Amino acid sequence: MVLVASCASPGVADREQRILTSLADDNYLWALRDPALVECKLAKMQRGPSDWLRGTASLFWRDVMEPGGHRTASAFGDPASSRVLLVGDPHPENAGTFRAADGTMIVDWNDFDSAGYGPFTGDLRRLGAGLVIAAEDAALGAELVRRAAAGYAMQIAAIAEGRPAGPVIAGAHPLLDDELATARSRGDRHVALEELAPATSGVRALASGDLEPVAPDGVYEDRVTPVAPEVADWIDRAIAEWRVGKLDAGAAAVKLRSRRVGSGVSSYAAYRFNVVLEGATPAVDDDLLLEIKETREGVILRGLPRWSAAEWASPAARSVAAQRRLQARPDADPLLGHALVGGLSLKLRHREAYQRGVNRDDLTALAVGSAGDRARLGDLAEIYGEMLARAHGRALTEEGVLGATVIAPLLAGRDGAFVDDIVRLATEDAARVVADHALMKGRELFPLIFPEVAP
Amino acid sequence: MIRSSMTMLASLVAMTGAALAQSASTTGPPAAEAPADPTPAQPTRVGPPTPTRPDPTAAPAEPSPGATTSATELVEPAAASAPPAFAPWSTSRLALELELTSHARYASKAGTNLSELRLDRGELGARIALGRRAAAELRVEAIRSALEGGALGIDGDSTVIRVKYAHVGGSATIGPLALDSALGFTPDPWIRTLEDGYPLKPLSRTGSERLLGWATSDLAAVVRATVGPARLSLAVGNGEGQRYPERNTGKTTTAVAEIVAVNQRSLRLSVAAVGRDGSIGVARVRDRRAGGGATVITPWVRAGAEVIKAWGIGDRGDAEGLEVGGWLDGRIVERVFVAARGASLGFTGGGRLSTFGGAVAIEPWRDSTRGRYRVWFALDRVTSSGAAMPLPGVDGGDATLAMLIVSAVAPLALD
Repeated sequence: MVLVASCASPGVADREQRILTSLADDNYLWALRDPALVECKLAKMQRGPSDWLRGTASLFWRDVMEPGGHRTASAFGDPASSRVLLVGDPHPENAGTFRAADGTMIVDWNDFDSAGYGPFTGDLRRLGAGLVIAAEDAALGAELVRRAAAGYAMQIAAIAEGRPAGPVIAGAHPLLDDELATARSRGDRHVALEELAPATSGVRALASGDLEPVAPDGVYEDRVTPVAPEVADWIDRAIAEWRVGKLDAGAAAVKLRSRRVGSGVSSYAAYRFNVVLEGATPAVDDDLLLEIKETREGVILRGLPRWSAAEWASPAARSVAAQRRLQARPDADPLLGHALVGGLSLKLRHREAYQRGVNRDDLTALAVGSAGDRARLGDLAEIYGEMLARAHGRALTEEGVLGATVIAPLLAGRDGAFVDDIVRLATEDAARVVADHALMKGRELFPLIFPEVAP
Repeated sequence: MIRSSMTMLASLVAMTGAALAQSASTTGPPAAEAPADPTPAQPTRVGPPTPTRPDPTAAPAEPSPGATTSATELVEPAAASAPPAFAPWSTSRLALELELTSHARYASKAGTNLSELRLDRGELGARIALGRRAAAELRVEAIRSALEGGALGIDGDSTVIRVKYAHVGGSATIGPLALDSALGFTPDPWIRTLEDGYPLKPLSRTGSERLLGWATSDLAAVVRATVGPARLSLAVGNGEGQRYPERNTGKTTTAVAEIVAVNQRSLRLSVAAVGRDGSIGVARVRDRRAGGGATVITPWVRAGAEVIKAWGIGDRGDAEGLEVGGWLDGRIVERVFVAARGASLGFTGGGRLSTFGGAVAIEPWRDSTRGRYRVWFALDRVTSSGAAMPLPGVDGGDATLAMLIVSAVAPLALD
């Protein structure tokens, strides 16, 4: 009987197995700790290809880097350019606004959870796949990737020639202009702080509960809950570690603490705490709103010889260091920092409404709009490409040289072939994402992935 | 001191028993045997409820230090009767073994080279006899607590101890048939078969382990039957190795058949065949293997080879490949050895991962019952091609490693 059981062949297709395995690895610890949130995450991922893409960065990198299955070879790259500092997950919704230390509003990449060293083409393919999926049209998608890749190549060449590559600011694109204006307006009015902890008669109180209705698929969209004393202690310890060099003890005094659920897709089940700090004075109008987010290992790219341990002391240290090195302004978020509390690696950032992500609906509106709208979407894709090139090109690689110096020689005189190569690869990647989503859509994933945890 | 050690070991065994009780629904393999041992005397290796023998993984059999002997004498066929094909069940009341390998390595690769010191292997095992026909074994090993390339493990990325083997086993004899079995975290019968005649563990893991990711142990039940020069091992286990508890309803079955074709004091030739069928992970990724190997042992030279066909590699059910490996270890003069090894995995879909290396080793001290240590100077070359490259067409991740290795095996047996 045992033999019969052992000989039972897997009953699912190879691709489905690979997806389930990847999801299991990614969410194993979260599922043991907070299975309900992992169920929500999986449900959120199933809403559409775009959400599926956002939830499967790890699977994407496995497909790119792990031998054994079908993988298309790129004609662009070499060992040196395989160790460029990457954003890791530069899809179109992972860009957003920031208010730098001097008050300048900029647009830049805003998610570095997966950042680390790897092949520059991987990041560009990831961006391209996101653009194809956002376009919802094959021809338009290919054109968007073409614009992004062309923008990337042009910007890399410019950096290699020593020309400055500044941040994306107002005037770059109408959509981004709107985002910047809205972010500044909402940030100046402390909208995020007032939403979470409205002040009444000079006293702030936490607004617990669902700030947005729970979605029909059961996913918490924006839920705020008080924290237990043990968690409050974690938060206080994290703030105490983080504040050194940023705020004095009085300004960093914790006034309110809460857990917030609903943001993101890939990191949906991660701890996210919102914290209100005293600020410069006891008055409520200079209170500060921070987010403390649990950060885990980035994408582990196997096969490339490297140190057995990462150069950073913790995942949050990696994410913070990568953000400062990859963004156009290292002070884009003056409150950015990290802390280690027990085994929890935490990233801290300013949570005020100055930071605002590009919305998928806005991209879709351009994609399905007029010819002018689609042209503007193409312009935006080119900006994305340039922004990614600036990030790669100005950051030091794992070998300690400027990224542009190892990427530019590969593209010199071959821009057209490079663009064609990226279009081909990104289109394939997007097709795989769409197929994967179709394969898993509507399935009860949680019991498949965590039968020992499922009720 | 021995008494306090015994008390500690008793506690460990009690803990093992508790762990086994928790995992009673799982199954696994018994201890492996040694290669031909001319003098099955004192146990030198803490093994599963396994027969013990002198220093199976050591260099070519040789007389104890101090003995005056010559090469001629060493290769001379023994006049005495041939040793048993497989070492008999050990009756030692307590057997301990410490196995350590440390590396100072320099990796030459594209871009900046790397240099590092690392503990490649650190294992401590204890086996206690429970009467004459049963025994319990616990063996632990040192590993890094974070993923390779990761940042956060336990207290940073500390080296931590985890269980490698933890099982209780027994033996019985029915006429010419010797049976033994074990339940718990048991050694994989194939890896154990390969390692029993493999003296190059400090240099490299076997091809099966290194390229195919074959787990060295599993929560499993193992039964083994020995008749004369033939032995059959059958293990039924979770298939998840040491990293995970059971994650699917299927079990993984591994069968190993061994025959000692030639068994003389001057020459031992054994051949083995392996078959494995099972699944790993929540998605029940197939884990099927078929293959075989051979080991030759003489007083001056040892050599081995393995060929494994794999269906499903790692977490890729669609991957298939053929792994071929071989090794050679020879004593060129007293206490000086040369070694070479290589393994290559070719994927059916195209592409190849290969690793080849050689070494010179000096063995300053060796005692047939008390252990040995070696200092190695080794070179290792890692390459990949085609679709097996980390980045197809772009980066093969090729590297050449120069290593200074210090390894030691220190057994202790109390009767």
